Amino acid sequence: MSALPRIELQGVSKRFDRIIALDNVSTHIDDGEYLCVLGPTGSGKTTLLRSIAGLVSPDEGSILIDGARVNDLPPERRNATMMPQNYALFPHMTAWENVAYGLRSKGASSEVIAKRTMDLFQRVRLQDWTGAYPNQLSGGMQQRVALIRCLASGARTLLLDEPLGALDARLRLDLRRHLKRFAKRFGLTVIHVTHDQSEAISLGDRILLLRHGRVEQAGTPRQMYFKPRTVFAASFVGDRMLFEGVVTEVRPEYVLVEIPRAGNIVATAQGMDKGELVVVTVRCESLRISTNSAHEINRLKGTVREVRPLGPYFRCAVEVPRGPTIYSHVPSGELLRNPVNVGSEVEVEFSPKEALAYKYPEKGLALEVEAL
Amino acid sequence: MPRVEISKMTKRFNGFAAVEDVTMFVDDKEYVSIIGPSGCGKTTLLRCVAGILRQDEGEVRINGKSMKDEPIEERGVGYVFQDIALFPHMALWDNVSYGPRAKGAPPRRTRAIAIEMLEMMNLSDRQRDFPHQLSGGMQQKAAVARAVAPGHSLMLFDEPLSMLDARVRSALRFELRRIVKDLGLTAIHVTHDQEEAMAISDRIFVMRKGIIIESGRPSDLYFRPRRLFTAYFLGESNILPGRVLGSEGGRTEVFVGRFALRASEGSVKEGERAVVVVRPELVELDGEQDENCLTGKVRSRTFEGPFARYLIEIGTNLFLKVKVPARRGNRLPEKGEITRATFRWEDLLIYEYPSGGLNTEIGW
Repeated sequence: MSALPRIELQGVSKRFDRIIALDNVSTHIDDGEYLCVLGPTGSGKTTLLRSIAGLVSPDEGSILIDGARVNDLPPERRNATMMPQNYALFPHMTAWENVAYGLRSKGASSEVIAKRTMDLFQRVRLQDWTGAYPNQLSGGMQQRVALIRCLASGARTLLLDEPLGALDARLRLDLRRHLKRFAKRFGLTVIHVTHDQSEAISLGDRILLLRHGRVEQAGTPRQMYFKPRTVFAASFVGDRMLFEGVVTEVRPEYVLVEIPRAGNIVATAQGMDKGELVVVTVRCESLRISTNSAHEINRLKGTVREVRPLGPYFRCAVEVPRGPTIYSHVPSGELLRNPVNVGSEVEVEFSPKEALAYKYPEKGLALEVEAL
Repeated sequence: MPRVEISKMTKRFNGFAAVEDVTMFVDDKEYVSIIGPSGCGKTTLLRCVAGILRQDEGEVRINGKSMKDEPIEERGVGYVFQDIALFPHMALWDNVSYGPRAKGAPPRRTRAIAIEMLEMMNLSDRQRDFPHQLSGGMQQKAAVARAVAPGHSLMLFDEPLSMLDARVRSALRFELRRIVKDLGLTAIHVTHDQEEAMAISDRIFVMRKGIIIESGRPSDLYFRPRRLFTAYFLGESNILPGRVLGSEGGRTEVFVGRFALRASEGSVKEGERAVVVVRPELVELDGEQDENCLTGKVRSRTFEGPFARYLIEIGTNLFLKVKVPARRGNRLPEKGEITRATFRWEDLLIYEYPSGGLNTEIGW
């Protein structure tokens, strides 16, 4: 295995008419790495993927695969295969024919085709299904056939554009894990485009968050989740409450922030000045509901308005009198043992470490986080 | 009187029953959802209520009145589907006021409705914008406003959020519920997304292969599903085969692998095969409780944001999924370590072993 990054982008830009799809993007993907490219609609993530695949040619910048510039190479010579969202299996061909097709079009001998195809089917444990047509296979089986078809041509890099997007929510959860296991078992390098942050967090070795064609932040799922660098990154990864306020006191590493109609909170921040407008973000699962808090700081009093089960956790709405409504996510195991009742007076508390303060965005909070 | 009564409805396509003998009621101002895997018949059912399709057998009554000979436009229902239905060449204001105007409402009334709708959707400051100038989420909210504006009090939603980004989708769920509740509407919402159904509805109907198999409040369906398929489809579950030893005092004793566990009482008889179910987030690792206790080796541990996901090997080819809240303070086991997995007896549900085999029962 080479020490070189498998894929590298250097200052890649791409425009479509007046729209800047990619704006000076530089990044790299290591050999065997599973990278999730995350971002809202229109952030440039599909253009990024298609540029690597060779389906879009950048206006500026270089794309390197295994150290060699591939800007002028056609898709089939890039050693990176894109799997379409709906798998695009040929419906009139059996699973076997679908997988062998790629090899055949490359001119391999029938002996090589048969051996390699069987090997692939065995490795995904579908050797008993080679004769089935796509519509006779389950969603999960179809995905496996589509994946080994991508590999049949010998590609070691897989480019996935919303590979789980067309599926039922339930099936999506199961197939996520299959996808990751598949990639690791075959030692593939994967670039996976998604708008779903929970998918990116549970799948990616690393996440590249895009916005308006630029890299907003790149890092491991933990870094993205616990240390978002901007308000946008904070609002995009994980469920968070956003409080607007004013800095009233500055200490090393912490600031005291006054939240209108809610009170004062202590938040983690650096390089802030007294009087500065800020946004404080706290993850919803870090907002704990208690009736007899022992803490002196970061306690907001309110009334429970709704307790809604969402499966693994309950979403509790706590209304601060004449102030904001705070959404706290309480793990189901905890709530079933210690119920929270609608109408009860409670305190919502959180650690200063969990409260991250950011400078108030110039164009306003709603526009910055692209809220509804 | 229920707002919507569907009785003994069957709809066939080329002899195949997409909806089979479905009977269900929706109360006034109730927000219900119908969930099920793709192809289960949920959209067909909704289209029959709307009058887009005509059922082969059975009846739909809205406000007590049979819809037998009632065409779509006379049924008084608003319909919103996944593709956003707005006139692209009209500003938001004109899109929203189109319905009342077309129905012959006087200009002043039309204006009042449009103002109210746009305020309700928090879109007042975008009323001059054309659809393409709005985000996907805003467009879908506007489409809801347009469907409600003619005065419809029964809304039918067919996967209205499925084309949107995950983040917009989860925010809009709560918005949609708020709008329906604030306006006092009745809504039937079809979705394949169980989390959406839980977030949005008062009651959920689970549909499979053309049949409503179960209905109930979100928490009852999630924590106490009567059917094994519901336990499988609505959220994540550990589904493990076992054998019943006996029952006593409202609890059933059951063998799973090499462990004797206690489950809430079921109808499975002594000595028979059974299937037990426990939610991954209701299992504790190395905790204090000891009612139901399994031990095994940590096979994998993955970071998933609010939860850490564990896979514990509790026997040969027998695994337990566990989701541990990230906010739990104490030390958590690492990969390769032996751990104790525990849970309350009332959180272990028991079902008869399906006669057609487990895979047939929980697949689709």
